Amino acid sequence: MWDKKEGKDVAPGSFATGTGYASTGQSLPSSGGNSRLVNIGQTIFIKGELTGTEDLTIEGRVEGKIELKDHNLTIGPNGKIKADVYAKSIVITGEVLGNAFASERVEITNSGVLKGDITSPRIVIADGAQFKGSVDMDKGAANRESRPAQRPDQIKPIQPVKDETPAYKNVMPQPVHGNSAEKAR
Amino acid sequence: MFKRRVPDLPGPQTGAAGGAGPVLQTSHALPRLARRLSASPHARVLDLGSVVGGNLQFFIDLGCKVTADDQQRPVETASLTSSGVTGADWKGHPRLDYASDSFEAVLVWDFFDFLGPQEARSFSRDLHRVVKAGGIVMAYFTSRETERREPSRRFRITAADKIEWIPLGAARPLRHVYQNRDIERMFEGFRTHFAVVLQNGSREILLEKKRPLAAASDGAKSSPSA
Repeated sequence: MWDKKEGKDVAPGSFATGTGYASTGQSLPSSGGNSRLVNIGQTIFIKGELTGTEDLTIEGRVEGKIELKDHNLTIGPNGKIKADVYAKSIVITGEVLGNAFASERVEITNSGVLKGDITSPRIVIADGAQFKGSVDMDKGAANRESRPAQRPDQIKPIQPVKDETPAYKNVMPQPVHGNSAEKAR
Repeated sequence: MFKRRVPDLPGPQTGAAGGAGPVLQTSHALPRLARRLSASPHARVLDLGSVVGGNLQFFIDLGCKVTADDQQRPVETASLTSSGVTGADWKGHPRLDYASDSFEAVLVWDFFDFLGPQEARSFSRDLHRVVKAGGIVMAYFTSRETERREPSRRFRITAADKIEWIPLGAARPLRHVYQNRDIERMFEGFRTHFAVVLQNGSREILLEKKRPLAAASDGAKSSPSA
């Protein structure tokens, strides 16, 4: 009754959104989304630009560029990617050499390797993950990267941002004076 | 009146034999660093320790742009794949491939413990290059000979003034113990902004890169011909 997903899984048009032929390996229905999950197998090597409109799991090798607008990308434990990656959500369990742009979330698991910059509003990095690069949590930046620039008449003026105090500031202890600081020299 | 610094969590103390579990330590340097960074908008922070998502998030929440570069990976890998006491020195020459004056703060954690004097000197010069004038380097240094066999650690920020020290693996990579005067020589071009000896014997230090004007006046005082 409360699970709204039930009504979504079998939407008639859901399997028509992607061709499914751009990818190889086995195709599996997704767990509850409105698009199916496609797998690129371990023995597959793709060089070039990979685009699609469905969720994708990569266990093989890809060099070039990967762009899955509004869909989830999973780099499996055997996946080796040498490309910039654009998706709604990116989960890295394998190895990625390139920048990751996500409109929703980037996750690097403890066995994941990312050598490149992350641009995403949400980031999850497990302890022990290998990551070398910068983190930019600018919301919408990922979209700007993959979409054409706006015409001048479409650009809205920047609204002043309300000054938000980070939570840490509220609990930050006051400096300790007197005996507390023992100078090294 | 006097405040003792004791670990907040009961648990195995990190003695010479090496405690097995994580220990939560109060940090006196981190709040100072955080205050400073939150005052400068869009500060860039370089984290050279093991990648811990929470640490990156802490600085992101302060409005910083964070770069992670796990220089300690070889030490960590050695600790996790071997046992017993391993060689003292980090093999290889750590390098920072960043433009000069890139960062307002660099988190070194205890990486210098694993560098021999030559590597440490060369690495601190590299740090001096990438840190902006007035920028801060946060580091831990082992101060007791008895702690040379402490396991390598991962550091996790759990609150604005709390850092969890998590020992890794069974190996005991021998640490170097640098005296304060060694650190001063090593970090030429920096001044000690804040330093404290923690309960476990480690020194927690904030080093500030001297500003050009101060450096110039220091130089003029010491050698007018230069």
